[in-house]
Amino acid sequence: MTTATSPPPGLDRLVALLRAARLSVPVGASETIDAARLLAHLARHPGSTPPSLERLRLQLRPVLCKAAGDQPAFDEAFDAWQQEWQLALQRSGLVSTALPGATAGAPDAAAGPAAKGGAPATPPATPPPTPPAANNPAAPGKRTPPARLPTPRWRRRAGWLAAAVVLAAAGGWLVQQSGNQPTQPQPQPAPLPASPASVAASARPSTPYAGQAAPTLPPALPADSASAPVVRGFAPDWIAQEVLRLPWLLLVLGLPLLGLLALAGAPPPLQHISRQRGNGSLTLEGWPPNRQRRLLVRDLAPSTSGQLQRHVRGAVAQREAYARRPMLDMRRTVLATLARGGVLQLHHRFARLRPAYLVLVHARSDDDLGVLWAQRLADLDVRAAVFRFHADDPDAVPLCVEVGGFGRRLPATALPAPWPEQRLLVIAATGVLVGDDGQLRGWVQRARLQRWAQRALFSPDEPRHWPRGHVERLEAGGPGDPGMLVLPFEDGALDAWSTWLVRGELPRITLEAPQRYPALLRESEARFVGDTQPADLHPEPPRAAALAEQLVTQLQAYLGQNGFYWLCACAVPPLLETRLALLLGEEYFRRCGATEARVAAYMARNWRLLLRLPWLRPAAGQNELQALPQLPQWLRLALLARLPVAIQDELREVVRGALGRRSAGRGAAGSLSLAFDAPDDADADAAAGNGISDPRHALLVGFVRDGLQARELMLRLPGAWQAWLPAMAPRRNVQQRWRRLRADWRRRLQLDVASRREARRWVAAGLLLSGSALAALGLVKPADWPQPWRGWLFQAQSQPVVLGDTTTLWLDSTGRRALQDSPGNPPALIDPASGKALWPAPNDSRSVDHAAFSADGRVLATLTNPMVAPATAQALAAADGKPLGPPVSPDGNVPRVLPSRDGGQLLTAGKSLQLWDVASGALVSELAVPPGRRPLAIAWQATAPGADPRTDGVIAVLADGQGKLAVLRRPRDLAAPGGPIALEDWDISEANFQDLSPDGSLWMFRLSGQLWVRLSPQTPGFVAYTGPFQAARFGANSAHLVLKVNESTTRLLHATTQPPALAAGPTDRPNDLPQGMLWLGDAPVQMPDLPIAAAAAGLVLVVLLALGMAARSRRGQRQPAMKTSA
Amino acid sequence: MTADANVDANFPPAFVGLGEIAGRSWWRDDGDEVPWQPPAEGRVLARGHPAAYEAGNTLIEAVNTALILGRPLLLTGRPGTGKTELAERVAYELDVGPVLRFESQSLSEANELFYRFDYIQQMVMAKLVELQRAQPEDADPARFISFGALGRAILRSAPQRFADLLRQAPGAAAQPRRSVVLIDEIDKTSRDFPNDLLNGIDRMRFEIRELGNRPVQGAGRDSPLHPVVVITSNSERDLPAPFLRRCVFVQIPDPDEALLAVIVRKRVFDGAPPPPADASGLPPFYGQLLKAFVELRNAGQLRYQIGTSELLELSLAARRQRLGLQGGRAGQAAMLVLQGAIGAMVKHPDDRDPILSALQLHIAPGAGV
Repeated sequence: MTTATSPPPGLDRLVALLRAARLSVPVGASETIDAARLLAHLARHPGSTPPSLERLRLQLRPVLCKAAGDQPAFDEAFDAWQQEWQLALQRSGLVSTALPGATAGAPDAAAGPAAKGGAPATPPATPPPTPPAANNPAAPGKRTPPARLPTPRWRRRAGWLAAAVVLAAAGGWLVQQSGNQPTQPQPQPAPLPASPASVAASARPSTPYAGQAAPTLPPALPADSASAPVVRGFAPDWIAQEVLRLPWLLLVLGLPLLGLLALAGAPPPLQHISRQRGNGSLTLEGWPPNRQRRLLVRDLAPSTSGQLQRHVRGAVAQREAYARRPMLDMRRTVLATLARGGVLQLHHRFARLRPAYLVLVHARSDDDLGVLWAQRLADLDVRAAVFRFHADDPDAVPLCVEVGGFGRRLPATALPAPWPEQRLLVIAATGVLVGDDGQLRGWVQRARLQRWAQRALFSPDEPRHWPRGHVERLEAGGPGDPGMLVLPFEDGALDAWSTWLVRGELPRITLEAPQRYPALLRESEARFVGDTQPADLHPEPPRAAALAEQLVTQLQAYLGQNGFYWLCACAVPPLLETRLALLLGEEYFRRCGATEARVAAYMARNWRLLLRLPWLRPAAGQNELQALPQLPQWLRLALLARLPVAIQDELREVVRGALGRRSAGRGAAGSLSLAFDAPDDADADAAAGNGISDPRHALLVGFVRDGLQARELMLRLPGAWQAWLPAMAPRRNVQQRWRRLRADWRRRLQLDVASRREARRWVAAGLLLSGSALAALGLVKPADWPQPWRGWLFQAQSQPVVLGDTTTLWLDSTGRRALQDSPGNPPALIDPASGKALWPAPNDSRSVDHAAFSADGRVLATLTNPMVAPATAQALAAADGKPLGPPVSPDGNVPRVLPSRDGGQLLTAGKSLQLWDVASGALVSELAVPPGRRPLAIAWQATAPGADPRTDGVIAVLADGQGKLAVLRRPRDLAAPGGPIALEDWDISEANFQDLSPDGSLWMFRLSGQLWVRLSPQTPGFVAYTGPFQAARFGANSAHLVLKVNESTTRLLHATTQPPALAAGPTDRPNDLPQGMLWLGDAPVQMPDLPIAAAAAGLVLVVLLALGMAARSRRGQRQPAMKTSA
Repeated sequence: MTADANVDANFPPAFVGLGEIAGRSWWRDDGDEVPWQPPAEGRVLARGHPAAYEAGNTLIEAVNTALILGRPLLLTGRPGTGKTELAERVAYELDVGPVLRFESQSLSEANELFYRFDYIQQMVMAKLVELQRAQPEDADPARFISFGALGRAILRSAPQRFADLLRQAPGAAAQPRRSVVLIDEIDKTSRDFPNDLLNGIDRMRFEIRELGNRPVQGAGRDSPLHPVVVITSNSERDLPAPFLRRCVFVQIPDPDEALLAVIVRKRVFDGAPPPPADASGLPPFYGQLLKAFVELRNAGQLRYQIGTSELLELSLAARRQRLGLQGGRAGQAAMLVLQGAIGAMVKHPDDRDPILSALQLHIAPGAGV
């Protein structure tokens, strides 16, 4: 079952992916049919084992993948197919868990029509597997879209990383928002009742304060009077508070970070040159011996190897050594036996000999490319002997050294006699065998190479530059001698020669690269070899510059972009060792995003071109150092000056990556010891200042560590070069100019990170800056922020309090926790936003008559005041509900309990005011309430803003039972001499008392239908609100009061203005609040916000780094260098 | 094809790795049948018992795929990874009798896999008949034919049609039966060998030229009697693509350390190593030897890449000398003896020092009893 619009990919799609992966044994029609048969069988016989993706992979891999080296490519293609399959299923609405290997999957259906044995068990979901149109001439009208290459592994990983970062950011944002924004509809809310009329009225704008904009009201609660809970006390159903605007915060914090990173540029940890000193030379991790061959020499094509090892006809007598068993000539055997009277006479047709090869390579060492190239023959089922030979004097008899085997050393004139049908391959330039006079050199004649009837010479030079007469001389044979075939040193030529061996005809050879060897080098190679002064090129600096520029242009055309950039990377180190050059090349191609197979292909192709250049050929020297190839200093600069700026940056990374390969230890296999020191910081500083003594190091340090452009590097070189090198600097485009400008600014601001330590310093500074900003945000009161900032960073939000059947609710100062007491249930600490219990109530907990949170919200004090038992009060940890100390038993009927600001003490108000130590439960001090009075409310009053909580004073509002109120103020030490201090006595009934502010500075009462707020003793006076109201309560900040005007209107007022004015604040702050809204005031940045903000800042960093990496990867992929430079 | 009594109704039978199957006999390499014996207390599997072979999921699914498709199963992998033993295990699971083996040699020809014709004997017999010292029926060309492994398997799958040839095929029964054919180390043969096999192994058909090009056709690919062909290769050279296309290919990976420990327990200690044992279930000396081997193999720096067979040979040599076992040498003395037996693992002169260094590094002086 599927949709017509998005059919799931079938087996044909998997086959297309595998063909695009270019397996060494391509998937053909027979493999496809086998796979289809297999899937059809699986559909008919599900078996007891449940189908799974892994099983299907294991079952299809033996059918479609026929080489061990292709298995990773198969797995990648299979993964891509699986992803397409699941995407198609999701688009078509099918169950995503139906794996392609399941019995009802599309591959089964796709395999069904092609399989024998009738229709499959399920209807087909995709057409039967057909090869692409390019391979199916029977369907010319249909064109299968080209198979998409499997996504590279790095790109998938980067995509997953980016997706994870985005998801984490979104999750963090949602978590943040879920704690601040109203969430409705709630699944199990029991909202406070609101009549339909009140709901309608709540949408009305505020009438008493005309001229103000209509407030943004929280969503109305549904009216359900039938389920009205019993509410005692003041139970708000909405909480309003100011919260941070996280996007603005991220913007404020992220912009400076973004700018810092933009200035810093590349990832700092890579900006160093790793080194390991030992004997004054740089030791790197080189290649294992066989890796060089794997990367530089491609495997022989099956057709070539097959022809090279095809049996040849030989004499019967030779069969004992290496021939196949000769075939019996029956006719001659029978006749001869009969002729001899029955005495057996065996006659054979001929012997089928395994071919043998002798390979002579003109090379100095076993690592030479020609030797590696020739060693492939040893892997075949042939007898191959490889000798390398070299002599400084071309006319002297060279010494041949056997590669592998017994390591024989013998002069070229004493080569062993050829085996029957042995073939000779010589890998050398034609000039090695033929002298300038056009005649074979003497040692060649004495070596009698004509003994090998089938012989060929593979010349590494370009065919168009083969010297005249050399080819004719070599190919000219004598009587019975076909001569020596001269071919280019390429795999295609070897294939052609193998064909010539079998068929006798030489096919046309297509060269792998165009013949563009630089004409300047061809004409006068010695002029450009060696570290000569540039003035030697030409006495006039402009002409010298033009000459150098012309040479670089020719090199660029000859090598193509791949090879040219590789050569430029080789120009950075002071000395050029062969393996270092190979390491640089490998690093370069890997950073271009090439796979292992492609890296080998690129290196094999370009290394052959590079080796033709005189600077990479080992020179004849007295010692190893002198024999190292090296580039002239002027050429190094000229090469770097030709590069675009972006490529220069990439080459820096390439050199750092190659030099960063530290060896496993001294003397370890594969270690590579270079003959130059890694420049340290002192060298670098010297180079940045007055110039460094050794220009070789100056170039390395300046280019790699300091990131200087070629023009700037020129300024560090000897003065004679400065006259002509600047003429080669290319004209910059706008982008390059911008990059140059940015680099200049980075240096001016000294932001250039040059070492790992400095990079860490910058990262630490950035983190410190971010942390300081966050800390400042947390410490500074939002009320103290200037208004524009405050308006940007904070917004008023309201959230519903989701209550069940609640009798009483006590909120902490943040509004995020509340102690809920409901009938029939033990009290529990809940999240007002969701109604979920934060910690369960203990089993023995009884009903709570009063509770209060400490100012810091960490301590919750509960009071149980049953009618038939003594009252008990206890302090609990608000986080988990664990008791912080034993319960205390105050005297008498106790209506109130209050923890101190620091949570260390409890204040109870009953028959007397008692101060208890929370930890021990001991009574600290006590003050008897004057006879005839009882406390209504208690509070702490700070002696001064920011004072020690232990110095807080005690405030109690007392009622005398006769309609009189008194306000009592005492120092913390209740037992201090002086007795109770009743500062004020008021003729106000107990029923008219409304509330005492949390800081004790204000209290309010109803009188004559008006609300009166008594100001603090320091500023005595009253504030009266003349409007109607039903109840009033102070906000948590003691600066606002919430006025419940009627069932539908609640107003937020400034408590101390005369008359009480509508609280000013952000423009979107609601001034008409629904029923029961509690204004919590300007909540400071809460502690939970701090890690969230820090995590958000970290996320920004990660996203920026990921973007930077992705941009670098894309830039590496966009490079035309990955195209073939032919 | 006629319906046969011994055809499994649940064709194709799945290779599930059941372990030892009660009542089922097995065959040794030399062809001797070993009847099943009820398990005794503490008895372990006899040496060479197919049930001792451990196959991973990759291998099991590949075998099942080959059975489903009726294609030859081409196994590659390093020496000692159990390529040959897999054929024994398949034959044991399918209960098809001994494995029909074909040991590849450099001079092997594809036709030998099907049959050989003894020209010399025929010629001598013809002479004897001519001299009237033998009967004319003795010169029947069919008498001089000897069938190869695959030829016998083809005849077994359809014995009714080739009753006259069956007498030349040892072990052939009158009832059709399935066979497991092992073509061992095909990479030893000449390059022409796989190419010559293409049609024969694909169609299970060959012709006997000496009998007037008489065709011999076996059970078809979809038949439950289709011979199971297992081909092994050490990857010493590449096989031609047309041959690969006709095979189900699987590369047996090198066993990891845990599987190696199981193999050593079964192959060296017959499944019951003497105590004490380390975490791998081996005596400490052999556990450390195993770790040294794994490190050497994974490093890949040896000139000759050692395989499981080298580990087994060295472990067997050590066990015969009772190194690290009760009553045997231990510590430095054991190390000295081990150096003498190091030739079981060193296959290249340059590898001797790295292997010795690794062994000295891993095998603690106090290892053993």
